[in-house]
Amino acid sequence: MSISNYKIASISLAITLISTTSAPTTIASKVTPPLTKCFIRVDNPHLSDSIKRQKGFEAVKVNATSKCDKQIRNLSLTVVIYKKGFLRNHEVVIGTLKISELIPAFQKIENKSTWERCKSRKPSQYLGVAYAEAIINGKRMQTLRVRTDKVIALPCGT
Amino acid sequence: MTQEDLENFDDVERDNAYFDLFFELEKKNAAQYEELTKRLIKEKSLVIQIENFWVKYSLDRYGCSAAISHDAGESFSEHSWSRLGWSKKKKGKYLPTFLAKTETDVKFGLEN
Repeated sequence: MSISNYKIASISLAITLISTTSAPTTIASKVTPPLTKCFIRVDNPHLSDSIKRQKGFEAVKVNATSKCDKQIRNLSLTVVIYKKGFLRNHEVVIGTLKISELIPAFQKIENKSTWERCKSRKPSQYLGVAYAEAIINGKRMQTLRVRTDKVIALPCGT
Repeated sequence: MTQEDLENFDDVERDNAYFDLFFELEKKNAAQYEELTKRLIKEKSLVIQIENFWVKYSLDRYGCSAAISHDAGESFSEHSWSRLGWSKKKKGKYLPTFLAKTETDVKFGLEN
C-alpha cells in the first residue's frame, strides 16, 4: 500500500469513527431521560478516628450513601475497599447493607460498616467502590459502580 | 462542590457506639471466637445463630464471607467478605476479628 493509500485509509477510518461516535448523540437527543434518578456517593478511604481514639489501633474505612427520587424496595448497597497492587487491585473487604422494607423517596441510606483492621503500619494505597441494587417500580435495577475520587496512601497494611 | 462534599461523612457518635460494642464483644467472646475459628478452619463452613438471625460463615482461598438469614436458615444473603490471607495460620489469626465484626454488625443493627 502506498503512502497516499494509507492517508485515504486513515481518513476513511477517521470519518467512520466520527460517524459511529456521533450517532449515539443524535439518538440520545431523541431518547426520553431516565425516569428514576438514584445517586451514590462514596467517600475516600480514611483511617477511622473513633477506633484509634478508643483502642489505639487503626482501621481503614470507606463510607457510602445512596439516595433515590423514587421509593425503592429491597435495597442492597455494597462497598468494596481495594488495595492497589503491583499488577492489579486486591479486594480487602466487602460490606453489603440490605434493607428489604420500603424506602421513601429522597431518604438517604448509609453504609458505614465497611472497614478493615490494619495489620501493620506498612504504607498502602486504597480506593473504594460502591454500587447498589434495588426494586424500583417493580423492576430490579442496578447502579453503575462508583469509585472514590482519589486513591489514598495510608499507613495501614492489610 | 460544597464543603460537605469535600469531607468524609463519618458519624463520630455512631462510630463510637459501634466500636464500643465491637471491643466489648471481642474481649468478652474471645474464647468462643477461638473455638469457632478452629471449627471453621476444619469444616470450611458453619452456621450459627446470633439473636434472631442465622449467620453462615464460609472460608474460601483468601478470606471468609458471612451471609445472613432472616428466615431461620431458609435463605441467606451475602453480608460481608474479608481478606484474611492464604495460609491457615493467617486465617486463624484474623478470623476472630471477622467473627467479632460480624456479630457487632448483627447486634448493632444491620441497617445502621
